[in-house]
Amino acid sequence: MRETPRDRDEELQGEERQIASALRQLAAETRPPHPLPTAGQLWWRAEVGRRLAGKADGRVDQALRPATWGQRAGLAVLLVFFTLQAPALLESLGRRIDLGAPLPLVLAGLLPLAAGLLLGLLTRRT
Amino acid sequence: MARNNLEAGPGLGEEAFERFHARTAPALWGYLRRLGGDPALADDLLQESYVKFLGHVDAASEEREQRAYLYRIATNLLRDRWRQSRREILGLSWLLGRWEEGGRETSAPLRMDLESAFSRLDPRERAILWLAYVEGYDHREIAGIVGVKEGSVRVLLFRARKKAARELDRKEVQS
Repeated sequence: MRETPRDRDEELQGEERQIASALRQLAAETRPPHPLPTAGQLWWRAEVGRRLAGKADGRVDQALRPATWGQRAGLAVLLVFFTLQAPALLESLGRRIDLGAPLPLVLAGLLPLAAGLLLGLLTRRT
Repeated sequence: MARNNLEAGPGLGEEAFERFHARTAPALWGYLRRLGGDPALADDLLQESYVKFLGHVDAASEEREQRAYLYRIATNLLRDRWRQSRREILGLSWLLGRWEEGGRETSAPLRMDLESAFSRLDPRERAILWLAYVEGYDHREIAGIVGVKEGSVRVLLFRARKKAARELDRKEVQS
């Protein structure tokens, strides 16, 4: 059987009993000045929150799924392209353009940055 | 009835929750009111506490454990509010403050003594004193609710009691 605070008074001595008694008096005087929310209201609030959270999770998953597939497909296409075509493309460009000129050098410097940004965008989940 | 088909939380039935709520709500409100110092804050946290409780309570556990779990949620929410607002002083106002619920002139001197005595305790010490002497929890349960080690509860409770008693004695000597 649960031991109540009153039962415990039997064990308390001196100042402990004084403090306990004062606190209980304070607790007894501390009552809400208005009716508290009913159990039914709280139950429904919990239920609504639970259902909304469940729906929201489902929608987010559903919304993310095509984007994720698209990102993966794009990444795969890029990888295949660079693997198969890049050497031939660069060789062809090298023949036509004077690689010592400033513009090709700048472009060559920006190319890795652009590739990095593109990969970053594609692999981001949001 | 559609309502009976709903399931809130992983187990506690609606009727069981109604009984539990009836037995705990006024006491929990008093705990939040005296620790937080603000009736409106107590109202908010009471609702939040029960909603969280319904979402996670283990229906198979005993009522005493469920009650301790509810107080742990409430204490954590109160602590979060203090951290968010950075107004720790709010926590100190639970006995300094507004006795606006009125109509209890007979015990005013005792209340004033308590205000003075407990205003010098930190929020954790007040929580521990309340849980021990008002709610009747043992050291193990208090440790779980407040988030400290069981051995620390004994020490903290002793210190808080000594502090409060010293202040009460001082008041008596002065008066």
